[in-house]
Amino acid sequence: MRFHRIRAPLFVLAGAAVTATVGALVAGATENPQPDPDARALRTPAQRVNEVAAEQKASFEVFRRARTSDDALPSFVVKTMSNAADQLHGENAALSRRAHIPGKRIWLSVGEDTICRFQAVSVSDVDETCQPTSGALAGRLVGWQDGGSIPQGEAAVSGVVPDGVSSVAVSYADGRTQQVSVVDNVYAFTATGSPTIRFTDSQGGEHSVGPLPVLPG
Amino acid sequence: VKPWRRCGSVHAGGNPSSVARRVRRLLIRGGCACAALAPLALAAPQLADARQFCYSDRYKGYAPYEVCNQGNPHAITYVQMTGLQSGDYVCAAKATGGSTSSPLDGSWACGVGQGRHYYNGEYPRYAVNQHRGGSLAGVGDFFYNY
Repeated sequence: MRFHRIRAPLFVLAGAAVTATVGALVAGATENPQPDPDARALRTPAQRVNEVAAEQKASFEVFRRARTSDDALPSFVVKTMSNAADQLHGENAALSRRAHIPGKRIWLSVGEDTICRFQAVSVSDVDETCQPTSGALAGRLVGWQDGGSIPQGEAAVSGVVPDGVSSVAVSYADGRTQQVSVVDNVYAFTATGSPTIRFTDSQGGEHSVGPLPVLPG
Repeated sequence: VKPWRRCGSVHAGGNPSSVARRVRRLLIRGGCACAALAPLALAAPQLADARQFCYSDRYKGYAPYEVCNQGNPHAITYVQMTGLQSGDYVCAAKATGGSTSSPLDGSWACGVGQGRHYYNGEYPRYAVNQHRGGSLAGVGDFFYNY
């Protein structure tokens, strides 16, 4: 389904307290439905999966271990994910597993041929990024945080790799490199600049993602 | 800052009745029929509210981003970053301030590909979404629970 972007002047009488700084925006309602050339098809919500697929289990050991209460996502995330009408990739909160990286709250879960990575940004918000299983196998399931209280030019990066990858190589444009170990199919590190992450899978395939567009220092 | 209207990708979610949900989804699928929404807004004022408060912005040299829900008394439960290709970089942040010139409260959370950013339903006052590629094209959809 394509969706259309409309950019039209708007008159909005903003509510007094909250929108004081916005002021009274004005609104005219010119209908001008121009198709966005970059708009992409929205995916039809998938059916929630009820188990981890064999391919996913075979490639990500974190899904082969028994699930415990420690693997549960925050309750407000579970609540939203449990709403069947809100399915995106069919991911199931009841299948989540936590990656036990000290100081991090990172979980993985699965959907319909999809693997999703969840990372707590704070107690009140959680970021989720999903990739097709093939994308996760290739190391493209990665995310990061920057800005806010994180020093400029730095980012808290984490990503997912398949079984057989014990560490990833991080490099920067200025030649700096570092090795980051993998725990429960997840790596996490603090980037100082825009990192490129590389690893070699158990079949000898080489993969990379990046440079990630971290906010500059 | 001079906000401008951007609509067509703001979704009202939550647990409304099936009829209301269908109406909302039809409205969404119909794009941004802002003018046509006027009479319907009487029946679904919350949707009208939600759709009003999105606009693009820039701040401190960041790439363009989209601010949503400012002025809406209803909290966002998640921002859905669909409509993206697998290699896209997309970020979301929350904000509680009342000023559009300083909308960020906390860090950006970014990812490669599709995803969501969940909030606990009470916070934030509004959310911002950013496509690090420098364009807002296909950045995403904003879902609300009431």
